[in-house]
Amino acid sequence: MNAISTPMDALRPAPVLEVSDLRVSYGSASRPIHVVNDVSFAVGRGEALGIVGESGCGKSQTMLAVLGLLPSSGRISAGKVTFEGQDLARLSARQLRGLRGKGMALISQDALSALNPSMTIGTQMAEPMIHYDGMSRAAARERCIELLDLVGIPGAAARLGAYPHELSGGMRQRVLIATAISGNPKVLIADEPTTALDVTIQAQILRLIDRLRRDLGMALVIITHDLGVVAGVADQVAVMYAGRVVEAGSTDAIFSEPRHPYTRALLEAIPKLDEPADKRLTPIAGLPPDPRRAPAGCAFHPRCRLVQPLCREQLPALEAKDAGAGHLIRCSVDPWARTATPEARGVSASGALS
Amino acid sequence: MLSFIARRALQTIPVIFGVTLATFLLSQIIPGDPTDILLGPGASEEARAQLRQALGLDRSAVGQYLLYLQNLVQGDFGQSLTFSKPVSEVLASRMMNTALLAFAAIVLASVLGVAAGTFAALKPGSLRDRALTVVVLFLNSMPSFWLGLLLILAFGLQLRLLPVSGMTSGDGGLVNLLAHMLLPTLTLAAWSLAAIARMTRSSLLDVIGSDYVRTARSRGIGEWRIVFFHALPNAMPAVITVIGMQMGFLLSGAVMTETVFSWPGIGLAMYQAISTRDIPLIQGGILLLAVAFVLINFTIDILYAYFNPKIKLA
Ligand SMILES: Nc1ncnc2c1ncn2[C@@H]1O[C@H](COP(=O)(O)OP(=O)(O)OP(=O)(O)O)[C@@H](O)[C@H]1O
Ligand SMILES: [Mg+2]
Repeated sequence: MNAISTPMDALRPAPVLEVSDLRVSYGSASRPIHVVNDVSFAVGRGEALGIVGESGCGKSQTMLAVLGLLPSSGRISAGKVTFEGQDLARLSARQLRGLRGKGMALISQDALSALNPSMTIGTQMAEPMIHYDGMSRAAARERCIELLDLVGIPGAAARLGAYPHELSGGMRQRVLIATAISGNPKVLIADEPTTALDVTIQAQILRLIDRLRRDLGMALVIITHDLGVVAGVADQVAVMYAGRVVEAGSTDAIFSEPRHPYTRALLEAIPKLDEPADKRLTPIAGLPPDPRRAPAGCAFHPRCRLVQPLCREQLPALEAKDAGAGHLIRCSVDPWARTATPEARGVSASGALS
Repeated sequence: MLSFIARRALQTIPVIFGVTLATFLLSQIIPGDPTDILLGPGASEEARAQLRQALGLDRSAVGQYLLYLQNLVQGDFGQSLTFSKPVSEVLASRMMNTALLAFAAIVLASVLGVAAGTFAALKPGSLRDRALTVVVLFLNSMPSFWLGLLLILAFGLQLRLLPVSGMTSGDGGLVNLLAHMLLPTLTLAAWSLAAIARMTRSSLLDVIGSDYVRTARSRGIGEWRIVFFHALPNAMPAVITVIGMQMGFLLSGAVMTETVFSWPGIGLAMYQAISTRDIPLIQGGILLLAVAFVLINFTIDILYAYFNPKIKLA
């Protein structure tokens, strides 16, 4: 099963990163705990994919598995990750190391903890250039200054000697972005790159990432719990819940025709500028399940307002349904199917949805 | 930094006064008439009175303490009864021997402890990690005199590989000295080695699980650079603190170890002094160990402040 892989693929660029049926597990082999299940997606050259879901849905675990950076207690127990057609499981540790930073690079959420506190900015930025790419110190220094300029850090040369704690949060995030793009990666993975920042800085950093992606021709995987972030940046969206993709498709399709009740709930939680401030946002009641006690059937059923008996028993497949090409939905009820009646959406019951 | 050092140095003065008071009180609490020990039970009352006057024992307690301080300042620690020499001479001749043993032990414990802790932390949960945990627990729960005796049994008496007592024998060259040092150094180092290995392992595991190590990995930095340039430097402050604490413990461990191996240091002298109730020597030894302890802590505080700029402000 290949999600987001349909006849429409002819229109999309060839995938540079492809994940199929990925499963990430912790615990013993006899009693495994799956934190990521059946996750598939593909990112084309220069394309941007947004992975969205609440905290604990397995977004970070998916990307760590892709980078081969799971903690030693975790493992990829099924599925595969392909980068430019190469199965990463078949690469040696050395080849994989060579791929990191150059093939794929990571920007993580909290820039303060993601930078080494006892090394200056310059030393950590230049480390791979000097020790793995054989650059001279002077050349590496030039390159670091160039990168810091590129991410909009004023007085770049003077910042090279600074320690991370001497910079502001926004500056640190820019430094982290500069380190990530220093190897000219083909895929940039940004794991909630703006959550630790305040709102104005968030917008700046998002614009920066978007601009760099276009200028440098990188593919981007941006992870967030905020569908609003995705709207401005991503071409494709995968919505994750409890370790599974529940809806996937082009950003346009997801926003114009959200089909999964979870996606709709996330959309209702985005603040909208054109609505009166006193209109309450509708956060989803409850929390995502603990992977150790995942409910039977559809994992979202305990929180779903449109739950049917079937949902408690059967795990729905991720299918095309009657939506547009490349738009996949994992829902047995599919209340917003084009053929569905308003009753299926619970309009008569609550009137709150649709 | 200079004012920090000065302030910290001033703080040690009351501590040292406290120690002199404690050692002085020791001589007051211990029952028995010192003249009995010095002159023997058969001495005449006149001779006793003379000696009391000579030693200042006829003064008030405060007067005796002031006299004691005055003598200390002049380097007079009293006369050792067992060795029939001034206490200062006994201690001076043995101080270097104890220092040599303690220094060798802390170096051994630090090098092996950091290496073992690192080795274990690289593969948490692996066989070698679990083996280390067992060894650490073993070393930590074994009294040093017991470990010393076991080593003597194994290497000295059964295998006859190493000398088990004294510092030198025969012509006493460097090799001879090192051979004599090996078992007592191991014994003294064992406990500290375990503590240092444990701290290195846990501190390193924390750092290896940190976001910045993941960032370094995500940039293609190789494993040994990660360990030596990213993880160990950030794990070191915690390890240095433990090493500093161990240096204090080593001084007390030295008493046991020196006794077991007849190592002619302060610890052995103290042991002999205690068993013969040689009070001036006990006092002198305690005072010396306490001052050494204070100086070590002083040095560690300075080093720590040097490595950690945030402390200097406090
Ligand atoms: N080392 C681990 N051992 C066991 N379970 C883990 C481990 N790390 C993460 N998990 C579990 O995996 C699940 C997914 O975690 P993940 O970090 O991928 O969530 P996320 O979607 O990135 O959330 P967030 O938005 O908070 O970053 C969580 O339920 C978490 O408890
Ligand atoms: Mg996460």
